[in-house]
Amino acid sequence: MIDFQTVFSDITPVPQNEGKEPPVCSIAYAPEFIEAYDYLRALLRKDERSNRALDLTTLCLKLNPANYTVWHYRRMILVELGGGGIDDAAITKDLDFADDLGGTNPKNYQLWYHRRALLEIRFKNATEENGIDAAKKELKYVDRILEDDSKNYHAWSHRQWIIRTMNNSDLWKSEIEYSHTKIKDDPRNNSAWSQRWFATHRGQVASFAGLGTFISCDELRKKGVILSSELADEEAHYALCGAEIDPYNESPWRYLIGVLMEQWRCAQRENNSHEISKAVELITNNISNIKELKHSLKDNPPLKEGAAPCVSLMSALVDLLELFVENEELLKEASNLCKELAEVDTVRRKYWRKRDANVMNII
Amino acid sequence: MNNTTPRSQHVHTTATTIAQSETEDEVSPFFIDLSTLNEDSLDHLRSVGLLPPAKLPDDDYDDANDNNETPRRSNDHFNPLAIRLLRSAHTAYLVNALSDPLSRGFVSLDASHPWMVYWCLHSLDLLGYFDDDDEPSSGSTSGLMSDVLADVEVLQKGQLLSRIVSTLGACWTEVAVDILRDEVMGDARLRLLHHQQLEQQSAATDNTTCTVPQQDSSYTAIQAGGFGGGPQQMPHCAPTYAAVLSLSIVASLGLSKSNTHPYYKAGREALNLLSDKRLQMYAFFVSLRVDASQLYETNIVDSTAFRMQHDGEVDVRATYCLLAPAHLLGLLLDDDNVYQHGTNDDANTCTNSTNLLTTSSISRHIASCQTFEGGFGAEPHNEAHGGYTFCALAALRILNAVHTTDVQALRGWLARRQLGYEGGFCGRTNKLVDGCYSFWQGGAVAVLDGWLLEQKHTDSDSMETVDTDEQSNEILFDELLLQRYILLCAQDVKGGLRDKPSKQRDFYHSCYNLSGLSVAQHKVCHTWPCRDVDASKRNDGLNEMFGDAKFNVVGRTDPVINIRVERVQFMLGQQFHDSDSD
Repeated sequence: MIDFQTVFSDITPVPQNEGKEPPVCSIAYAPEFIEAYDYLRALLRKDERSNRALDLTTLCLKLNPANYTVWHYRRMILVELGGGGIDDAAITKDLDFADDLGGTNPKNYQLWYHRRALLEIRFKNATEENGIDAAKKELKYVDRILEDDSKNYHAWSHRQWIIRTMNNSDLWKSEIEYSHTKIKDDPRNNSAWSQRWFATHRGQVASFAGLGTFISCDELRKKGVILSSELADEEAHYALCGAEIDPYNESPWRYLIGVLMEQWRCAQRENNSHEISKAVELITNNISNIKELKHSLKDNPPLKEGAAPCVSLMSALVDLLELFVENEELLKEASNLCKELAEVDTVRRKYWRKRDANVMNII
Repeated sequence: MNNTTPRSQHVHTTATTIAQSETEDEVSPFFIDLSTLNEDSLDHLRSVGLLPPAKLPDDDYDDANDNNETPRRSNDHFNPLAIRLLRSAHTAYLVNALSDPLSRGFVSLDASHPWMVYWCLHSLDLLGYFDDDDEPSSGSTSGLMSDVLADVEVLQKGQLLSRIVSTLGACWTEVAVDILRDEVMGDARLRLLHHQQLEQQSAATDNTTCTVPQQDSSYTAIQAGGFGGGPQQMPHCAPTYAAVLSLSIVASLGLSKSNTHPYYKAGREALNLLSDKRLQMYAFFVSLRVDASQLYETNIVDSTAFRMQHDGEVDVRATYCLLAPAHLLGLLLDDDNVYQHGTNDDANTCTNSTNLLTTSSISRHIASCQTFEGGFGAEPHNEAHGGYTFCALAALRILNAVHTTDVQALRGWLARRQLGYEGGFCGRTNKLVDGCYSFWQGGAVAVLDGWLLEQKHTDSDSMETVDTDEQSNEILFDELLLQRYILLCAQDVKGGLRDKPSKQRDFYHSCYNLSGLSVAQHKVCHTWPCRDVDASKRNDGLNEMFGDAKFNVVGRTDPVINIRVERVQFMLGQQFHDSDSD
């Protein structure tokens, strides 16, 4: 607590100006909130960057950790007190402060941004080795958060930022392992599947629509923007194994389709017969694998209730079958699946009818 | 309707399947067949307003529904078991939130004041709270008590609107930004703003110390501005979005009335505020640009992201939160005729104008946030998520660049987000239903369906041309199931709406449940902005309705901006004249 009368005896507090009319959505602040923020406004107006100002931001952030203005002000003060930068000890101290404010499940943007802003400085100032150590330490912190909430969006995003920023081969590899651990814990943790994609692609973006100039598939594979043929095979296999554990789990199916579509689209775009036949082979293989799984589900229903139609599996099949726009037999198969899906996946019946109409249109 | 939609299935039990089963257990009591309930239970539902009164007086609809624009189907049969939207309870909850001080527990929203205003105001607007309020009759000769009360009510609503404008005005803050001199000179809006500010400065420096503009610098200092999360807070994209949308609602409400109506003054003030500040907001938005090609090393040359604030996080929310208000304020036009009255040398050196908020580098970055699943994440490679997907898609719609994404993948991902048993949407794959995604996901479907419909109308070669589905302006998700989730599971009988039954009501969930309800009720518009403003007053503008159809209709929201279509229409009809400083 701050003894305002003593510490800020030279400061006239500035009340909140809520406009000329009675405010709407006003908050009946506690007296200690009003006092702290009145002084904060006074210091902000002077732009005073001092130790007592830092203490005041500590208090104000404890009262409301979502006040981005106070966080910004705090960073300015830290830079000023550090003589134009923030030294490592101060960074450690403030990371702990942000951690304390967040509790076990931090979900506010400001806390995570504060970490990024501080670590950016730490990473920039560190030697390569120290930087990797600092990154690993922060990854451990994030892991602790994910232990508590395995799908915390900010935490996963923060992990990605750390690894992308360090861009270190070991970290990329260990992140694939990490995602595997999380997928094993819960194969329905879609954040972990998403992280696997990030790690296998080393954070590179293969948005085909966005790639301005034409780059060949080979080139994209060399850069790691799209998976190599071998890796695509492996990842498709990995996804299918995940689907076998629980075929009603959407996550591995969409990962599988993602891997296959990436190869397919690159080949299509290049219009190179070698690339196309490679992609056709990959997809044909996977179609037969999926069909095999479909039959085994029919023969040995995993659910007590009997052979419940597996929507995720059927959807994946449709996505693959309809790629073969010149093969009427496969298209008819896709169309039949759409018709069946419209019956069993009733919440999406309109969607499946549309899909069916599109397939019929190609035929 | 059939209450027995299938529950989700799993072979392998995990934390996710446990949470999912618990949620299904939590909502299942709400799907009970009402005809099996005893009279006591039904009486209870009637008393809280979830069911129509047992004996319906002939004029009940007029009393219960202060919104005459709801369609009346005279041949509709009275259904005593038709679930109702708790209009008056929600209205009371929201009006109260606006007008009376909130308890100290709300300090966590102390940096979100404009958001609270928007959530409540837009919700009330959807509920028709401000509709068809006649001007107090000056010679209220009828002398009827009901007329007098109605007059008082309209006056009070007018006062509330004035207070909203005053509160939002108090959240405005300015900030000095440096923008590349070449960019200022190449952009008609920045050129004009800079020119205005130089004139103001020179007028002010007559009696103060003169500050010489730094001619040699490659940057130009501009006084930019935006709305903060509360008075004396820094400008930030999100509250700026909320404030501009709220002020647009007030402007449209007030200025579509005569100048003696109690809403008029607030409307005028709202529009003046927006009109005075719009160029400064443009400069603020421009100053938030980030070179995304550098940030993400994406192999994509020339790609632009935005920060939420100076010294703040970068994500696609920011892009949407600044493009939506910029669109409403006419800041995305390429027309620089309007701006040709700049008279100083700088203003005339460059005749071409590049709008810095409509460059293709912006849509390129948004497209790079689409994931292998089909939805969009906050940043490239982040998991596909409903909130970010809405922001990405709506921003692309504003930029007219939806075609730069994988539309079919997006469509599939959105379709898969509706949960078969609950009927509501989840935010991500294998996550739980949450009422707020009624809008984030449902609204995204409406944006995408609208775009596809427009393509079909304008381009006969489009792949969507052959459409065997005759009702093609019907929304693609299951509108009945979504309405059922909102009306049965998301309504708090004390007023306000919520994530799911085990969660507390709040303003945010009230807003996005009601917005989702609007999207589920109204047919998709094949133009954007929607020109058929009156469609919702006709029966053919509505989708299939759950529950008490006549009673439950809410206003039609524009799915891209998320204020009513009438409000968007009004704003886009404004000619903003950026007068030289006076």
